[in-house]
Amino acid sequence: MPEFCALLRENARYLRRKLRPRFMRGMCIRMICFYQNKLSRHTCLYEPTCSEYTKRCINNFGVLRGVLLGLWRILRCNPFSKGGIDPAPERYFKARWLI
Amino acid sequence: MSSISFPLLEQGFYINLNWLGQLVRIIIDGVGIVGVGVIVFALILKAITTPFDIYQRVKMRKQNLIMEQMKPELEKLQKQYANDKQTYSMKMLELQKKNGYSMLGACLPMIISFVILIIAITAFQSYAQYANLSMYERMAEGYNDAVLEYAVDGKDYHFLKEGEEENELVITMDKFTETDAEGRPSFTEDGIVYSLIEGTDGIRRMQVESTDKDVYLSYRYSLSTSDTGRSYSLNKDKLKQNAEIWAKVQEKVEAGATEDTACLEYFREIGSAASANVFRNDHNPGFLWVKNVWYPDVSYNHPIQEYSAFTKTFNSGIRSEGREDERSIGQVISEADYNILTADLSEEKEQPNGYFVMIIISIGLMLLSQFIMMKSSKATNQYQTVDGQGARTQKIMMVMMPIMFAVFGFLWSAAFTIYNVISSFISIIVTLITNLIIGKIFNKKEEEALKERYTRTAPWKKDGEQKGKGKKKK
Repeated sequence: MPEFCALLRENARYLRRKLRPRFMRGMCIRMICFYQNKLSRHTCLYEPTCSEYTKRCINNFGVLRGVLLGLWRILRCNPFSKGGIDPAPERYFKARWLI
Repeated sequence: MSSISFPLLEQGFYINLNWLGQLVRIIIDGVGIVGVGVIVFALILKAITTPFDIYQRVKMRKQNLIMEQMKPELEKLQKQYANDKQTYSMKMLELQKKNGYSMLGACLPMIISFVILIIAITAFQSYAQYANLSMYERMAEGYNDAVLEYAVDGKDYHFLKEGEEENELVITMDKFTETDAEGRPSFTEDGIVYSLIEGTDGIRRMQVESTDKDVYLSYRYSLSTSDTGRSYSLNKDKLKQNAEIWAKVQEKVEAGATEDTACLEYFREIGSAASANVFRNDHNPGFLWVKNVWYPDVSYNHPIQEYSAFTKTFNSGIRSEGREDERSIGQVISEADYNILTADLSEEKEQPNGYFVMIIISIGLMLLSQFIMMKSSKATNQYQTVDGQGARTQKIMMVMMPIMFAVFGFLWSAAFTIYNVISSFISIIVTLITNLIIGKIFNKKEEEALKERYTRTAPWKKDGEQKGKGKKKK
């Protein structure tokens, strides 16, 4: 048992980072879901829509980077742009558990 | 000799405005009338958003007309893919492409109009506080000016300080050639008596008094420090000599006041009458039936509020001249001062500020504009998604937006409500005009398409006919 405790203490920082609840991320995604369900008009030049894109970015990269990427996307989604298919970027190296 | 100390109101308070507040201030100062200034600000903000608004409306209307055209096919699709949202939207887009249209609007214009709304809210919120404080400032200035008409206007003489050069205002002890009634060294200049007081605390003060009969207020200031804060006092003996004023003072004494407070009250009344005049005439913050634009247009609110309600309207720190730190409103303006200043405005303290009219107009216009939007994008709402969710969204917006604006109207200033009225009025006009124009253009195109369909002839005849036509024309 003491060995286990020592192990925990050694890896405390890593574990804290892994186990911390992602409140902000959840709240943001929930808010975007609310917008999509109740307020959105479902028109966007791109596929997926801006809100869906932002949601995925927040899921992949966290609140700060996700919101920035989403804002950049909204700026791109202006009357002068052509639109088209523009999927949200993925964070591939996060899938370490596969190995 | 009997003198009563007479405190003036403190001045020189201000709030730091952000750039938006500065913009509102420049516009309102430039226009002169507060309400018209607010309207001009609303028009400027609307001028920025109108191009985006037009873009959105045009897209919306076009899409709606196209959707209406493809109604039967879309209905069929809706039945076919009732449980599959994605395939439905894919098929719908394909159908639109087949007919040669892709009418999806961009996201940025929507966000921009939202951001502009937030900008307007913050600008009015910060400027309302500034306006309330500067109203107080102007009223205090009016009060002080009115009272100081009865005061001595002397020069600020002082002893020579270290590292200072000789100038006109520097005096030496040689100048005090006379002694006044109480045996203090003094000198007279232009009918004003300056006498030196050696205070018990070691600070030398200068007493400035006038020999003129009609000047009742004298002041004294400290000679030892650099600032020359004057503390005024009222000369009762002189007041007694003026029969007219003394009769009025005696009336107050008969009503139960002591002689000193009666004298003070006489001058305070002069001051508060001046401050009331400032509020009513010189810088009236009213517009139409709203008495004070910077408070909500509701009947339970008054154009001049009680002290407790007045202090609640401020949530930012207040700066004052010559001080680095910010203080709260309670530390800066005391209740007694505020009551003295607004003593003559008791009528305004009970009057309703407005009659809810502006709020009702803003809600009505909002409902109207939402209704027009709903009408002009009915087909889009129904066929954009499988379950016709757009129509539900529209209904939610139709309820939510007026409620939101009503809450704003009840909580925040009437100026913001005026902004709302103007902006929704303009957006209604823009929607109607774009609908009209787009409808006409669309009808023309449709007519041409129909003509082409019905005047179609057999392909082997087509060439010959065209040639024939060409010959005829020639």
